[in-house]
Amino acid sequence: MRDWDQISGAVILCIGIVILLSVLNFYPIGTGHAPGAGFFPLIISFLIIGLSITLVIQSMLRKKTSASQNLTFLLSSESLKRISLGFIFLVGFRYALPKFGFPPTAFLYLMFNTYFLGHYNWMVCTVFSLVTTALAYIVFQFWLEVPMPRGILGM
Amino acid sequence: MLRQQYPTRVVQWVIMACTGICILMTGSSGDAQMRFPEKNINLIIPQTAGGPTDTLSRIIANYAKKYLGVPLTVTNVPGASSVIGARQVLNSAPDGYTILVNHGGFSTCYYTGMADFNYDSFEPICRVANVLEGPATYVGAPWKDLKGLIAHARENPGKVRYGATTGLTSHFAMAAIEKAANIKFLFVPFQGESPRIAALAGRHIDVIPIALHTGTQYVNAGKFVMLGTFAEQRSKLFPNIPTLIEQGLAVTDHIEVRGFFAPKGTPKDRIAFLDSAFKKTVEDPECIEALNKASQVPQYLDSAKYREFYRELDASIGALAKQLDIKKK
Amino acid sequence: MDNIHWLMNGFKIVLIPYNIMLCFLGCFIGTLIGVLPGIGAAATVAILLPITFTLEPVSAIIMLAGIFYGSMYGGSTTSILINIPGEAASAVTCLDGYQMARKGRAGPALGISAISSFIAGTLGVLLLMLIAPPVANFALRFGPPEIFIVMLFGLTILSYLGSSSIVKAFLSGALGLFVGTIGTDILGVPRFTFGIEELYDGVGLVPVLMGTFGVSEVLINIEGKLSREIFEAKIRSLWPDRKDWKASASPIARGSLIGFFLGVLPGPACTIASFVSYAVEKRLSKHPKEFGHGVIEAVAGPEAANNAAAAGNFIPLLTLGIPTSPIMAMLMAAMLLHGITPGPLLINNAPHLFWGTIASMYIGNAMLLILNYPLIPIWIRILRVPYGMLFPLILLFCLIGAYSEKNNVVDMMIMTLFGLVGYLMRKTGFDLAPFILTYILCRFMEESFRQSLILSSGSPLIFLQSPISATIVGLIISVISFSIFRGMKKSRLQPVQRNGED
Repeated sequence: MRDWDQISGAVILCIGIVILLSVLNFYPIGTGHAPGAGFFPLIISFLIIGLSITLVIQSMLRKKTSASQNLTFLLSSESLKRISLGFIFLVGFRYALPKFGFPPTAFLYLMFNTYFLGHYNWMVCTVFSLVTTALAYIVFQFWLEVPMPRGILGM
Repeated sequence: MLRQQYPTRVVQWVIMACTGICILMTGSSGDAQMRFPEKNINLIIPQTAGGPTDTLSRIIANYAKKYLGVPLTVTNVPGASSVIGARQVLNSAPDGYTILVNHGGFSTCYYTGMADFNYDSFEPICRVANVLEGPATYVGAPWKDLKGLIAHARENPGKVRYGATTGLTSHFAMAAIEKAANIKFLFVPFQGESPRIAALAGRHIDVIPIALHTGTQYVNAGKFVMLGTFAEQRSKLFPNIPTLIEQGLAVTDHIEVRGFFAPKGTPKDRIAFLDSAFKKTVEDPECIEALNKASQVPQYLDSAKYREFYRELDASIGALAKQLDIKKK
Repeated sequence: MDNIHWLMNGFKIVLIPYNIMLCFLGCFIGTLIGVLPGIGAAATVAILLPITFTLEPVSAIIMLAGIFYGSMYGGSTTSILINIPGEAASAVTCLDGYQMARKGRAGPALGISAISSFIAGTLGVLLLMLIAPPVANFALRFGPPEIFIVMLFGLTILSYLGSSSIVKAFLSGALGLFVGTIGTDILGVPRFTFGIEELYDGVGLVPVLMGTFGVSEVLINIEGKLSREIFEAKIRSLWPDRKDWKASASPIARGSLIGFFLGVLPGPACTIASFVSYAVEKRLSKHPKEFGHGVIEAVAGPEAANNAAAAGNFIPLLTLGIPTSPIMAMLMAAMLLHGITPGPLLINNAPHLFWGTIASMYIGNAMLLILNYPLIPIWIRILRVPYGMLFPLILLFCLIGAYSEKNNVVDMMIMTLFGLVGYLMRKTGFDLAPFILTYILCRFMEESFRQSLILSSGSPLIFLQSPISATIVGLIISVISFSIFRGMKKSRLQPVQRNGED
């Protein structure tokens, strides 16, 4: 039964150290006269390191009652798959949009999400995606004229 | 749905794919231009909406339609001090349908290391208009005019505080004053014109470059004193404001003047067409009036002359950048 | 009084069918934009700017202004219903508004939100009309040192913005500060950008907000099978009851004042105002432990604050010609496009514009109340939409919203990444509100801090020089020492209880 505060504290501590090292190596700290680009990030990295150490210590000293366990983080492989799919679809949208334009990308995105994550049958998915894409097209590309990239098919 | 009629997974996939393809096919296909222009021309503004470049572009777009024959649509692509928008046009097809509006920003970004390209990666179409700007200070300052300010700055190097946006045209404009008068100010960075106006009004800094229209309002309200204008000649709109040149400083406003550019490789006849269309736009009396009301004056130069003009501008910016020493490490 | 005469003129200008229609259109679009997560008022105003070209100046400003304060009404709808803010300023409404919805009290939450928005908006316009010039002149005295101190004061409220421990709240805030440093600093040095040009101006508020709040919320909900709690079965009431009204009265009053005065300062005023109001309400409440679990004050106060701040935001533009936020900058552009130069003489040179705008804001606020209140039952129907269909819609709007700010697909990627960040933070018990607040404050804090040191040639005494900054420094010290003192007293009284949750 792990206490997730320790783990998240440790992870954030590493992040803080990485920031500190990058600041010291790359960015000028400057002087009191003219603080440089690294000044604020330096202070922030100290804050992060100090606070994360405090967090880890706090959680180590805490009595191991069940209330402070943060068990909810444990994910089943099914949930992991669903979350990953969610992210993959989001990333896919970003890469598909410049290639195909808005309507095809939006349609496919809605389809994939409702089908694979929503588990609706394919006909419901298709109808829903078609209708929504059409509405979104009218509102965003036609009415508001948001300049979307036109894909290979000119949409 | 009855179980028997429920298609198998393969058929499901096929039907979904077909629907998808139908959607994809409803897009309009590409076209082969016989005549230029046949569809909208897209003007990319590499700044956010609301600035002088944006205002100028929208006014021009409004009046250019009748000379171009097609609408000129404007798109804001802000970011990285105009580099992102410029890069988008740099990489777009050189067919005359995508053009860029910019000012001395090409050179300032190039010499400060923010961009790896300069104006010569583009084809200049024409120069269009400029914003009337000049340095202003607050009422009640120890100096009453430009002479006084320069004298004070000579006696107190590094003490007179000015506000400008780092690495952009306002910064270079003030640096040009420093160079021409051989003095040293204290540079306080601000993001954009409005914050520095507020800072000057609150007397937290001493001098700022400001548009004449805006500055005059503050003069009439008794808050500011206009020390001069960067323009080469006194403006008819502001006959009381002397130029910096008149007052002995060799400083011009070339850095702020805006023009249109096309990607390298755009056919010469299309450039010529756009050039003449914009020339007519900028000579249209209604357009001139709209520009004047928005603090801008038309300053047309055709393609070849603009290229020459920019070459000189680029050289002077390069020299200033060395002096300012703000090249990215 | 002279002003009344001018105001009547203003009403005469607005109360013609053409302008009324435009006012309504602006309010309607604004509400819609506020409701849709992702698309912000700034992007919308930018998109509609060219359309206003063909309009009269006053009409154009009326419509665009309507979009702005209208979005402050709509932003809380999604915060309450699906825990995703429609606007940054509505982020705090998620904390308690959503919890109220889970308890079946979405109706009262939406109702109080609309009412407090109306009261605060109208109060804000009233104050704008009466004391705009002196307030604006006072605001001019806030130079870099004063602005920094105010932002620093804003940091002291981090621990009130959620239910996690103080350490975790500040850690969340520290991470937000770090994210805020990404991008070029005020001297043009790119930090943590890994050479990606699109990051030169920072990661962007909309992608960060939509990612950490929106995407993470959706992901948390789709983890398991989509058996979302069925809110509608538990909808107890549609409208606020007497207890709600009574509890909300003071928060609304306080929120309006806090919002109005904070709205004058530069920066994302509406957002900061709503966060501060939340913290103030929690601090003054008799039952602070209930905050975060669905108390009506936590909805009434912030909602009032962000609408009053919207009114206050107009002051620098209308009285001095200085826009203090991106939307105000666009309103200024609209004025310039129509040949009106904003400046300190705007009231004198173009009184019809000034008073017409003010009159339209009164009417607009009333319109928004009439528009929003009856829509409440309809919004609640949204809860009936199966989540399996709702969530792709939400994500699609978030994606479009992230894109539309700068017309750049990289923003979508940033949003996705922050979705991951927000998801991890939620799962490990970190509050998101401190993260967003410090992210927003960081740029302004650092900029004003460094400007101050440049001005003072390195001396930190500049922060104590003016009476304004010295006063606020004193406030900060007293707030911090009070909290420490209170914490010590508590631990002295209860030495046995050490559960780590302070």
